[in-house]
Amino acid sequence: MSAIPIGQCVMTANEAAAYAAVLARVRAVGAYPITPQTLIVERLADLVSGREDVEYTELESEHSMFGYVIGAARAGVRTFTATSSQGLLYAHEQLHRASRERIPLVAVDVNRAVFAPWSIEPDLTDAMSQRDTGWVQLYCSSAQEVLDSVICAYRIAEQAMLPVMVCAEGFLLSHTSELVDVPTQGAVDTFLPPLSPPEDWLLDPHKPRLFSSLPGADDYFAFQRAVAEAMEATAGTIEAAAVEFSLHFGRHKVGALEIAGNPAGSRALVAVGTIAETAHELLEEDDDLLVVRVHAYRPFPAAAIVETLGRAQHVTVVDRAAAFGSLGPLASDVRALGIDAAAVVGGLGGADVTPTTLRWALEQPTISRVAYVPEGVR
Amino acid sequence: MREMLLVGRGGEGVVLASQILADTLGGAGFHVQAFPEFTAERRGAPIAAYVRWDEAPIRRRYKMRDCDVLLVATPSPPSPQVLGRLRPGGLLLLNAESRFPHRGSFHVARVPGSHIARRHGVLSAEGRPMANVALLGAWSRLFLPDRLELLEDAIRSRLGSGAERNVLAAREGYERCIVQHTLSADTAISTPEALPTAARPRYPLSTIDTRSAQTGAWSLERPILSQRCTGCALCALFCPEGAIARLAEGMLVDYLHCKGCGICVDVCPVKDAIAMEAA
Repeated sequence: MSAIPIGQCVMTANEAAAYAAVLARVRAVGAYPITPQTLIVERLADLVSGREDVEYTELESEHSMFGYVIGAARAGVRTFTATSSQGLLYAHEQLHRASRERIPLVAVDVNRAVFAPWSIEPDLTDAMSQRDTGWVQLYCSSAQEVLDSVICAYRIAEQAMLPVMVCAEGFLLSHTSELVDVPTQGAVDTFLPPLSPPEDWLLDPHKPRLFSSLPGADDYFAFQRAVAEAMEATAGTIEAAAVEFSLHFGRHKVGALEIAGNPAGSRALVAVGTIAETAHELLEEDDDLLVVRVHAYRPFPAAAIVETLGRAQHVTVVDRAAAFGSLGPLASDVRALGIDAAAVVGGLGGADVTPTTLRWALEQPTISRVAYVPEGVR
Repeated sequence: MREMLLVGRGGEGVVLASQILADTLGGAGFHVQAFPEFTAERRGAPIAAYVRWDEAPIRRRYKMRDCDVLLVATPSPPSPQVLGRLRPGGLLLLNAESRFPHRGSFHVARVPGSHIARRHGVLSAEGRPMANVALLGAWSRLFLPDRLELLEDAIRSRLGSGAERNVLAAREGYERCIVQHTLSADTAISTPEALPTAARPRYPLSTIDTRSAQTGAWSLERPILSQRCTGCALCALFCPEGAIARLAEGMLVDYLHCKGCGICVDVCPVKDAIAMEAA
């Protein structure tokens, strides 16, 4: 069994995710390898090897893997799993099931381009195309944030009784060695009490019951309404967890949004993950720009975005995800708020999104069409 | 900020070298990013890794096309395309015993990395010398002089029980690093000619003509046929790449596509008809 480092260490986001899962005292890990996620489950296998209090199971597919963690969670244990791209898509129906059955899973999706053609490079289409499955989605921009978000995700999931997907772009985060501050087990234990789900939700061999069997239409509808309401209420849970996490661990707070630049600037750029991180480089030369990074994409922080973008005259949304036949996913959400934003799609399949790309994006008109970044704008 | 590109072949420890560099720079108090770019995810295939370091936090998150430092792990001169990624005034760090003949507006440092690796038994699973740690020793001499212990600590923490011979190779790399020459900026590097780009197909059925993927570049060894070959063509039958053909004048190996697996040697019924040699 290898040990978790403590304090400032150089590590990748994949290693940070594995350490976070162990620090969260997960009891069941479902594993199936896929690049660029594989290093997470490999590192976890090392970390939990020989431990009798952790079940580590390699399944025959991602579909089974999500079924496995759903079952383990129902038995009352904290679970972890991770995947990428085709793996997440293969598990699609289990994703719907997890939220509608109110299973507090935490899964890491290391974002990778979707087939076809083959690519192992970063692209958010895999996770963003799952945005309507009822999972809370957190998108990260550093290895530190991956570690912090996984720990926070358990707090959010178990309060909301909803699954949480922590997303990290492949290679740009998953394989990038950088400085990460690792908290102690004691600090994590104080922040994250043991899982204690409601009694009437748990599997109990002494009280055999049917779960999710065939209800009448009104009951079915009521269960869906409850998911929608729980999702809406989760916005407050995310904010509260972020505040408490930042105080407890002495970190800069990362709530639903992270805002940088000039709040009164006339132009704003909205993005998730590494694209928003790179946009910070524009701020060195541009004091009229506001950069809004969406960390919690589901539930969508509508009110906070409207408030933040209220003064900007020109808003540009840059998606690293395709939603063919419509705008980029994030751009659709922003425009649905009545904000007249330019919609740009860039960086698919790991294409570089550099300050040059972003300057081009900021020049795009706010028409209701999507602009895919032309080749060579980098 | 410094931006560094490490290039080599899968199996030469290029990615590991970038991680050891990240640990070293983190230990020296720098903010750092190190990440690989895989292409074919195969031993022998071209591979790259990127390292950035700065005293301030690094916000940019994309691959670098140009770099300030170019480390070439393979003991052969870099292609014009790779060399073209080095910015004017940058530093080229080579695994080389002899002078680098190219002229350009960059500095050249070299260290006989493969030779040092062999001396200290730093070998790959196939028994080939791994120049990576000796090159890192040279890097330390150039960028963190008098802080070699940081690199040694990083090597020990990454490599565990096999670390000591790697540490010795790094030390020798540090000692034997030679800055070859510094050219004035007016002797500009020749711009590499753009590769001809084939028209992209309309649908992703086959993005390129499969024959144009010259997988022979991955090979570490290649088969050489001797006069003892009887032309029985068993090798052609078993070659997984279809890279051997029987012609009227005898067997012909297509080295542009031979990956150097050696199956031809294993199946050959004639003693000494085929032998593997370094590619």
